[in-house]
Amino acid sequence: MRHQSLLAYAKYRYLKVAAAVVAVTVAAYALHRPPAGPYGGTWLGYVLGTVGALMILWLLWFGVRKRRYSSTAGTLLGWLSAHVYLGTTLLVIATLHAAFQVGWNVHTLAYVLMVLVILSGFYGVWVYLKLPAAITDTLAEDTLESLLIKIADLDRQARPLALSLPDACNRLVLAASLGTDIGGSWRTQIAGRDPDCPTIAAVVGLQAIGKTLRGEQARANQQLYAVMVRKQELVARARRAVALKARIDVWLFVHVPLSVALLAALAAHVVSVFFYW
Amino acid sequence: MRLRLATVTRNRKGQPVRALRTIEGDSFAIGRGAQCPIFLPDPRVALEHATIFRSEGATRLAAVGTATLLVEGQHSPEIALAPGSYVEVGPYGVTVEVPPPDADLALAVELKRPLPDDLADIKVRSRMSLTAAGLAKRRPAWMLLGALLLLFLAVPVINAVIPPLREVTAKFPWPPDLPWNPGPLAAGHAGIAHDCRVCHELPFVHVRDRTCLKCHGNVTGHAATPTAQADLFGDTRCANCHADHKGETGLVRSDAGLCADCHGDLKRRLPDTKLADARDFAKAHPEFRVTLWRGPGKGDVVRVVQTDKANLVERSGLRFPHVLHLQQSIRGPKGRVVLECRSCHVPDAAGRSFAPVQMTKHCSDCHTLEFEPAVTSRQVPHGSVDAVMLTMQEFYASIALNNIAVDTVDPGDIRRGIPRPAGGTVTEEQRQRAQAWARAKAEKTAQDLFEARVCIVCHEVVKMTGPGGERGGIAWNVAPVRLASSWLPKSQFDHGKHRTYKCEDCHDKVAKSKSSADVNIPDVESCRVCHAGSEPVANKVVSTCVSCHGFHLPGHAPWTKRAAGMPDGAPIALAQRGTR
Repeated sequence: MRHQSLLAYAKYRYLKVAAAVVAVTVAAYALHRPPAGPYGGTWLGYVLGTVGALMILWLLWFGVRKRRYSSTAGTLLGWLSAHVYLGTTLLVIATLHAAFQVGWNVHTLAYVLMVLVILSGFYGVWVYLKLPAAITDTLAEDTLESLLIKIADLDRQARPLALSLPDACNRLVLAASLGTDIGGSWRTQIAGRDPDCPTIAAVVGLQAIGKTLRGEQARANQQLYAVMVRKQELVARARRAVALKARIDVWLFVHVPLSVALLAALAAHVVSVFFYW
Repeated sequence: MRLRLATVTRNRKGQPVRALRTIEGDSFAIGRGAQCPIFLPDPRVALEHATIFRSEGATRLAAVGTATLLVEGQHSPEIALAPGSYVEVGPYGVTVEVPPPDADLALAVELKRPLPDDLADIKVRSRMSLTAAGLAKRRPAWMLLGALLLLFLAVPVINAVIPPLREVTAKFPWPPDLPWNPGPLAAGHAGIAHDCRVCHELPFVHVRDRTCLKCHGNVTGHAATPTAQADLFGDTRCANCHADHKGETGLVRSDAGLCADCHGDLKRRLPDTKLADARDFAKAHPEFRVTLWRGPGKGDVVRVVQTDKANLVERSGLRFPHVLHLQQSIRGPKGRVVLECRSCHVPDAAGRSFAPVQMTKHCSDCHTLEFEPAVTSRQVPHGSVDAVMLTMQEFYASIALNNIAVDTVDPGDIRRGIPRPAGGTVTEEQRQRAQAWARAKAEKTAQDLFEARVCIVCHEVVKMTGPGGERGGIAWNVAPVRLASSWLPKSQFDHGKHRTYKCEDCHDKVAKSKSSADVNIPDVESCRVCHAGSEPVANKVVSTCVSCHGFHLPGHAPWTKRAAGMPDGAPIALAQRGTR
């Protein structure tokens, strides 16, 4: 099957649907002249509010649908395409439902949560479209697992090479094999760098020490340095791969909890509006 | 010195396997350097870590340089080796054994702390996914869901349905249902803002009209008759138009529909109405109807459509030709003066309209009320015919009786025929003669004053003759002056806001007006030069109905006056709609 982008799915079917929804909404709002000015409580306000709320529930259902691998109700790519495009229309529907009114209240809280969810979704679409290729470029024929195997192997090669060298070299090599890690906290993962990386310190240190060595030791150090540089390259690639993957994943840790929070705020919004009708 | 060295490794079952060799020398270096006889290939061991040597009959082990030895957990630079002693050299454990007969010293060396497996180790250290780094979706999602539902749904609902609790929380600066408030209340409702249930009495039920009428009970209907009220408003709730939570002034509508919904086709709704249909100032607004005085009586007021030029005549009782006063200059008591509009039309305190023109302030500098200008600069009072007569009679009687010059000029003929008192008392006959003369003199002067020289200049004066009376049967009637303060009283016009224009920009015919009967109020087309309707137009001011008109303004029926046929004490809204 030919690869198809989630945006171009079915010849932009859901882009067209979304554009139509936006056009109808904007036209209705422009023509609507309610007596007390536009707000959520006019007939159009109620219509837009109902459509928006049902749409939010349907968008949340995507979280369930994507786990139902046996479902035959459309392809997952189709669902995702509709999820993205129709979710975007909510920006227009909800804004016009509220008639641009904001305040320090649960209604605006729901709106703000919705906007944050949608914006995080935009980021998600962007990274889904851009970053997988970058990961492929970074890993080439490797996987993260194979990179780690190679790194461990270089550590095993490096230590015997260092045995005959001064203690300082040994300490650097040992620290590099015992202290180098890939990833770390979510910030470190996304940054893709470790400023305190012992492997980098070893590369720098071995180069400095190498200038003081002569003869056999200088040759051994040269060998050791080459190993350590190879390790540093592998470590950097592994970190970059982890960083790209973290950037692909991180928005979901905003998108999903805020979506659920939006559900709560939406419930409070709807109940409060009709409780004090 | 002969040393038997056992290098201990472990087989798969963990059992020790010993490799033995014997070495000879004076001393033995221990280290990871290949030259060391006791070779410990581990980076944690120094290149030359320690030396075994004999000293004073004892075998000793001493650390080299900065390297250290660990004996029973303590760092130690040097120890004596005796069977049974145990020393840690880096990760290696060195045990001194009982030497065999052919050796002086026996050592067993075992790598006690091997380096971890590199691959497993780096995998343990590395956290390569966000989940591994501690980020989660499910837990924060549940926490947010619970917190928001509790804070913004459960707590406000519980608070709303338990009245005693509400009474307590209403005093809080942040009552639980505060986050439900969609926007600031109208200024008039600020006092009840702390308790939503004052207006929102029943959950899931619209704010009811009867709730509004609890406070606004004296508000009558919005139409003149009960029929009109029912026709126009039907099932419309108060809150359909008066929606609150829209800011301090949001409770009162100002959109075009406020008026046009009814007035746009009022003729169809109320066939007997005298009001013309009006929808939008630019597109559908009737010609102005000017309110004019048609006589001296309080009810002598008519409204005339501006296009009806023949009837556009005001009868204010004042004779005032603007054209004479707005000449380039006119002669005044202190020389020539130039009058402008503002010489007489002075803005009122609010700056919206004008203070009344007053005789004493604006006219009397030129228009003096001197009645005997040849003799005296005294003036008659303005305003009352009786006071005018009395003033003159007093003046002439005083002269006749006292026979003295009142002013600088000798009163010539006045003295003639009247005897001097010559220091003595005036006889009754003399007094009566003097009085009769004074009355006659006043009468004569009055005729001149009212009919020829003074009053008649500005006022409409009618001479009335009849029997008897103190003035010998002659009287004058000065028509009361009815100056309009506004010719379009159904609208509000703020002169202050139009200050950037000159008076003649709108009142263009005033300077040439010869009669105070002329009316020079700008027409609807003049206003439309600058004022658009409710739809924006370039370089025009958007003007909705309420830009100029109030909604059934106070003072305009039916807002304050109870319409005919309304039962007393029952607000029309309630009367029409029962108990909804």
